[in-house]
Amino acid sequence: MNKLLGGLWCLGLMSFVMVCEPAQSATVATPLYDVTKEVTLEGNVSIVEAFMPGHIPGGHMLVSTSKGIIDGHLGPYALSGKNRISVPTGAHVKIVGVMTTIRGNQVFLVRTIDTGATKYTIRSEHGFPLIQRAVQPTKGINFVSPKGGR
Amino acid sequence: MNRKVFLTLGTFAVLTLLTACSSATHSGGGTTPTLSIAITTAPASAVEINNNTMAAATVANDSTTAGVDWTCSPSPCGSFSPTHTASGAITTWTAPSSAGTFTLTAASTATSTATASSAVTVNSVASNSNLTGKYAFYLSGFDLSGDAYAAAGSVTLDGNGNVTSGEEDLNSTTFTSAIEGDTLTGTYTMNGDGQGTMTLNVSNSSGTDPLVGNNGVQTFSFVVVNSSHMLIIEFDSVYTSSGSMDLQTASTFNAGISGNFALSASGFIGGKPAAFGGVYTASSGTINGIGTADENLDGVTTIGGNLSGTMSAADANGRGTFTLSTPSGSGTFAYYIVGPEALFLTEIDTGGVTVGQSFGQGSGTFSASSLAGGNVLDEPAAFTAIGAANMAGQFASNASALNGVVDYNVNGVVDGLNPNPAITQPPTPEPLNGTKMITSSGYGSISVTVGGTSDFATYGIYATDPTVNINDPNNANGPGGALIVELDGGTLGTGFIVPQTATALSTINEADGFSGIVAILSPDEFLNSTGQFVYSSGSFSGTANINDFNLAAAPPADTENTAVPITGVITADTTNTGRYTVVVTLPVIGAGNSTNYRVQYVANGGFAVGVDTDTNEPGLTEIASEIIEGQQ
Repeated sequence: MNKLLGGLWCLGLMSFVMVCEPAQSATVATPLYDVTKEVTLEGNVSIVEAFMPGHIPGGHMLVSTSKGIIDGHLGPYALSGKNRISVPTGAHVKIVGVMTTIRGNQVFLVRTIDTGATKYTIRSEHGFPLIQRAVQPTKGINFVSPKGGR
Repeated sequence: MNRKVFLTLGTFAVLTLLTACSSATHSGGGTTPTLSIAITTAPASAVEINNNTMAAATVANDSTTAGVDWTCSPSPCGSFSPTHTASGAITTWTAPSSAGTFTLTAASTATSTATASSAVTVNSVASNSNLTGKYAFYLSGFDLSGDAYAAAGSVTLDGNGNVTSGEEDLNSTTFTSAIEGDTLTGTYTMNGDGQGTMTLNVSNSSGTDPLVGNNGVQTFSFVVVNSSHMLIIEFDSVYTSSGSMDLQTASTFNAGISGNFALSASGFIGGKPAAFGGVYTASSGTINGIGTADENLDGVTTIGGNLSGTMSAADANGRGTFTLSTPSGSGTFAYYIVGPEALFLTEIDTGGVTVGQSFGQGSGTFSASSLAGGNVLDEPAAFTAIGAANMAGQFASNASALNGVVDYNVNGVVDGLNPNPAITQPPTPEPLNGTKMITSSGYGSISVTVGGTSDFATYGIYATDPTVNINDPNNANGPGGALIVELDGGTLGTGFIVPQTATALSTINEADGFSGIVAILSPDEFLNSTGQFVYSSGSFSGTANINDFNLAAAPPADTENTAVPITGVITADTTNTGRYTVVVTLPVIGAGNSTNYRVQYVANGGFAVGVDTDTNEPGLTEIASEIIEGQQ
């Protein structure tokens, strides 16, 4: 009986080792949105377009900053649908995001836009575009469509 | 045997000659040979609608060598190319888009009363009567506001165009609670080419459910692959999405499912993109997978976690519920049994809008050698920081390594994020190299390097029963494969791997499913289509229903494009056997281009997957995936 239990224990341990073998990690993807490189920029909005020919698809917001004009990429959802965000041309904004290079062009992946009156969160803290944009007129962030989640 | 064949052929030839001669006009005197005409290459006696068959007629004693004119009846009766041939030269007749018996007539151009004819029966690819029984379906896509939704359900079809009953679950990122167990009735109609539409009247306990479809009327467009399997899209003004509809084995509903299964699902959880998968054992209403579950929630990955939960009994439509704990939390899912080794599922808790599939692993065991050989890989809908992405490719693998090629589209950037290559069509595929690991439970992973990008790197893989066809689960011919989940911090999605058993399209009638996000001169358009085309000698033609949502318009605009003509050319990649480049021509949809580019990878004679390789340089970008299945 003890032998049997011992055998089963070993078998169980072996099975555990087998099934719990982690996925190989020889290759590590480098996220386009590297949160460790997140910065805040400030400037005036010169153009807001849901599509700009010659640029990668998705909304774009050109912002004149002290470092020049930044091509802010807003992702596929921010300027689409009935819950699209509204940032007027000429508005003074603070934008938080990550500068990245795509096909030789610098693009600023915008995570939040703060107009002073309203703060929009259009990407998650890991850079994925949010299908439910968050609007922060007060202290708390309220999703346009309040949802739960895990 | 040979003698019989020769006798039959000889009799046919004599009869044909006699028929031709009897209808010829004798135009000369005793010393002038009589002009006559005969069908010398007979068309096929039966073809399917829109298909081609070749014919030739030879004119004898025609001093003018004027040739042959071709006509058919009754009208509309298809077309000849060319309508005039030299004597003995081949013409190709394309059958009409409706079934019937048609007469193909060759007339001497010199003496039009000299004719010869052949009858051809044109058959439908499919009809309403092919669809009988209960069919489970799933869909995922977007509404006209740009919010995501997912659905699964079951419809009972009577073979006469009626949806006699059904049930559906649907969840949206805009809902405060999911729609559960709505009832369905309706109708369906099918063209002879296997394309059709289905109209569902959706009700809840209070009556018509205005949240489903267009105020409770949900319209699907579908294309029949075979009587057990259809590709579907939602084709109304409120939702556009894509999915599958498959015949259910009702006898399995009472017993439920048991045994080992693979699972994958993706969508949104709390508004953030999410994907998860794994392998588990179902037994007596419980689900357990210890150390065999992976999850990617908003770029935060958990690998080798646990799956657990309970499973309610299925109802008369094969519907039940999962309560499933995944590595990051728990969720509730409606499931619909397709058969003993196939389930469709959709999440119905608050905050979860995911859709997935689960397939049996059979009685076999798995090892490092599983999936050895040639395989096709497809990740049709992934999420990245800059937008949607997809990838398809093929690879050969042994027990630990894999090597192949892929094409991908990351938000309009095709086959190379950096540096900045010149865009040419057709694109050059990128190399795929990596390692593979599969345990005895079928749980495993692949780690790859893809040229030109680091977006696609780490995947969980969950092997399925080698006798199950994960894209057509009623097809008992397998060949198995695996579900996959991408587990990278910057990219997540789901897909599948299927063995590559043949590298050429061998079926003539093809069902086509196409879905994607199209950015044209005005931006994001969410687009889904089902279509059917006839493939022959490297080219194809057919039609498609395209549901196009232009979310940039104010207010957002939808266009349900019906029977859009599509033609194209498919060219084999001589370097990478099994890979094809495709040029598609269609009328302009929205503000787009009439020429589109795609790449296809053929997994077997009747199944191929692909990505759209249009880029934003010409003003058109499609981030889209395509699936082609041969109609049987």
